[in-house]
Amino acid sequence: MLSDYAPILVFLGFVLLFAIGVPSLSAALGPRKPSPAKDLPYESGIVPRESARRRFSVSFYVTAMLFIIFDVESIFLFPWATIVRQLKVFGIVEIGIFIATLLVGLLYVWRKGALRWD
Amino acid sequence: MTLLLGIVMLLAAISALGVVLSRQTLYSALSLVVTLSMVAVIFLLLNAQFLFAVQIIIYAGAVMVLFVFIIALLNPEAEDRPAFDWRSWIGIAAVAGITILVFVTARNGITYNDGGLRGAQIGRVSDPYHTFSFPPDAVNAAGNVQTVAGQLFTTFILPFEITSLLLLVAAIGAVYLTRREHSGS
Amino acid sequence: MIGGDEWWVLLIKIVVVVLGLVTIAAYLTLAERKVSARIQLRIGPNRVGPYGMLQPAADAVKMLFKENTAPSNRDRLLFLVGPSLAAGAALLSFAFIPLGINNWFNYQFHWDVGHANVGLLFILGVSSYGVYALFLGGWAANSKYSLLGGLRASAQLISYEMAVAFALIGAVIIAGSLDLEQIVHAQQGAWFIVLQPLAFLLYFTGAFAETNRAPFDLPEAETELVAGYHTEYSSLRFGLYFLGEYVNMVVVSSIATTLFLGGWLPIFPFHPFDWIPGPLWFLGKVAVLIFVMMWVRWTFPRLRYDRLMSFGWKVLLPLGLVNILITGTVVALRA
Repeated sequence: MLSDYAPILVFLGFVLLFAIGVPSLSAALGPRKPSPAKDLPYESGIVPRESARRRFSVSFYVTAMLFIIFDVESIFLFPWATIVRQLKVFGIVEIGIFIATLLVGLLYVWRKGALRWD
Repeated sequence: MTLLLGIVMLLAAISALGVVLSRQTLYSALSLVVTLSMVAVIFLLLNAQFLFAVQIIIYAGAVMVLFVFIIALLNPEAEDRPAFDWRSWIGIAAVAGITILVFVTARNGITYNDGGLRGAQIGRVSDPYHTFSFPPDAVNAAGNVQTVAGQLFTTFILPFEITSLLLLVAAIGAVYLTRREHSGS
Repeated sequence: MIGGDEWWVLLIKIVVVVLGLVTIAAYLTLAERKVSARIQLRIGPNRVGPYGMLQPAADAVKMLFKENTAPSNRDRLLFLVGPSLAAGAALLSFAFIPLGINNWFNYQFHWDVGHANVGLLFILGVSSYGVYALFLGGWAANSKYSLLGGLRASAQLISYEMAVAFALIGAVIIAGSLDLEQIVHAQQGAWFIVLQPLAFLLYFTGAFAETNRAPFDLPEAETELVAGYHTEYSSLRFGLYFLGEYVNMVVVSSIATTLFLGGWLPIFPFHPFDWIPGPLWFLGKVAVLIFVMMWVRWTFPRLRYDRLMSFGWKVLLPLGLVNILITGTVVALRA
C-alpha cells in the first residue's frame, strides 16, 4: 500500500542530502586558485581549438532507437513472466508470436548492418 | 496523501512549464524527464506500481535518453523566441479552454465508487467491455503486476500482439531513417 | 509507524544503509588495489595504518581538501548535477534489496529500507537515471575526452540494460513474482543459478558492462580517453563518480545474489549452516561476486568498442530471448 513507499521517500531525502552536501563540503574546504590554464579542458597539454560538442556517428542514435524498441518488449515480458504458470500453453503461444515478431525485427536490423560500428 | 498528490502535481506542472519556457533545448528535454517522472509518482500514489515502473523505465529511461542524445549532440543554438503579444494570449486561452472542456467531458465517463480514487471504476456499466472493478485489497492480494498481466494477456491479447507489429515497424523505420549511403554496396 | 517500522527503526536503517554503502565503497577501492597488487605480484597500499587499512580514509580526506577545478566553458548546472546524480541513483537503487528477514519476539524484522511488490522493476527504473549522470557529466564539461566517454558510457549502458533485463526475466518466470523477498523464498528448494545457469551468466556478463568495468570499461579507457566522462572532475565531485561506480558494483552483485544465489538463504538448509544469520550470508555472497569482478578486471584485456556493442546485441540479447522461451515453455508445461 501507499505507506510502503514512505520509507523510500525518507531515504530519497537522505540520499539527496548526501549527494548535494558532499560536493558543497569540498567546495567550501578546498583552496581556490584559478588560473587560465586550469580553466581549459584537458587535452594532453595541447590548447583546445574548438568546442567538443559536435556531431557523432549515427550508430549512437540507432542504438538509442533500437533500445527503446527492445525496452518496450522487455517491459511486456516482465508481467507475462509473473503469470506463466496460470496462462499455461496459451501464454507460451502468445509470447512466442510476440518474441518471434521482434526477432524478425532484430534479424532485419542485423542484416541491414545497423548493428555494425565502423 | 492528498497533500502529497498535490505537491507532486505541482512539481509536474512546474517542470512542464520549464519544458516550454527554458531557452536551452537540452534544459527543455531534462525538464520533460522531471515531468514524466512526476507523472510516474502520481501513478504510484494511485496505487499503480506497475505503471509507475513502466513510466520510469520507458519514458524517463529510454525515450528521453534518445531525445537528450540528439539534442546534446546536434547542439542547436538557443532558439529565437518570438515576443509575446495579445494574440499569443488568445491562443493560450483557447488551448486552455479546450483542455478543460476535454477533462470535464472525460470526467463524465469516469465514475468513482466508495473506494475513492484508488477503487475507481473506469467506463460505464452500459459498456461492459470497459467495466472492471479492482478493489485495492483484491489487487494487492493478487499482486499489482499479476492483475495487469491477467488482463493484458487474456482480454487484451489482440492489442498486445499488434504492439509487436508496431515495434517491428519502428525497428524497420529506425534502420531506414539512418541508412548510410554505402550500405547498398 | 512509517511503512512497517517505527520511525526510529527506519531512521537507523537509512543511516546504516547510506553510511554502510559509502564505507563499503571506500573499502572496495582498497580491496581493488590489494587484489590487483596480488595478481601483479606487488604488495599494494601498506603505509597508512596496518595493511593499509586507513588508506580509504586518507583518500577521502585528501579529496575533501582538493581544489574544485572546472573548465570555464562548461555547462554550470549540469556539471554539478552529474556526479550527484551518479552517486544518488546508485545509493537509491539499493533501498529495495532485502538482506534478510528475522522473527524476534513476534516482531518480523525486514533487513531492507523499502519493500515493493514490483521491487525488481523499481531497481531497474532507478538505475536508468544513471545513464543521464554519465552522459550529462561528460557533456557538460565540454571536453573531447569527457564527451566521448559519456557518449560511450550511455550507449553501452542502454545496450546492456536490455540484455540484463532479459536475463532477469528467466528468474522471474520461475519465481512468478517481481517481489524480491518472494523471489528469494522461491529459491528454498534450489537456487536459481542451478535452474537458470545461462541467465546467471548473461546477467553477470551484462553487469560488467553496466558498471563500466574491465573488460567492458571503454567509457574510461585510460589509454585513449584519459579518464572518460570524469576527466574534468576533481576533488569530491570526482569522488562521487567513483563512489557511484563502486556502489553500483554492490548493487549489481546484490541483484545477482537475490535472483540467482538465494539471497539470504544458507547454502544448505540445516545446522551448522543456518546458525549464520541471513544478512551475513547475503553479504558473503555479494563479496564473492565482487571479488570475481575484480579478478576478471585484472585478468582480461579491454574489448574494442564495436566488439563490445555487437557482443551485447548479437550474443547476449538473442541468448536471453531463447532462454526466456525455453524456461517459459518448461514452466508452463509442468504447471
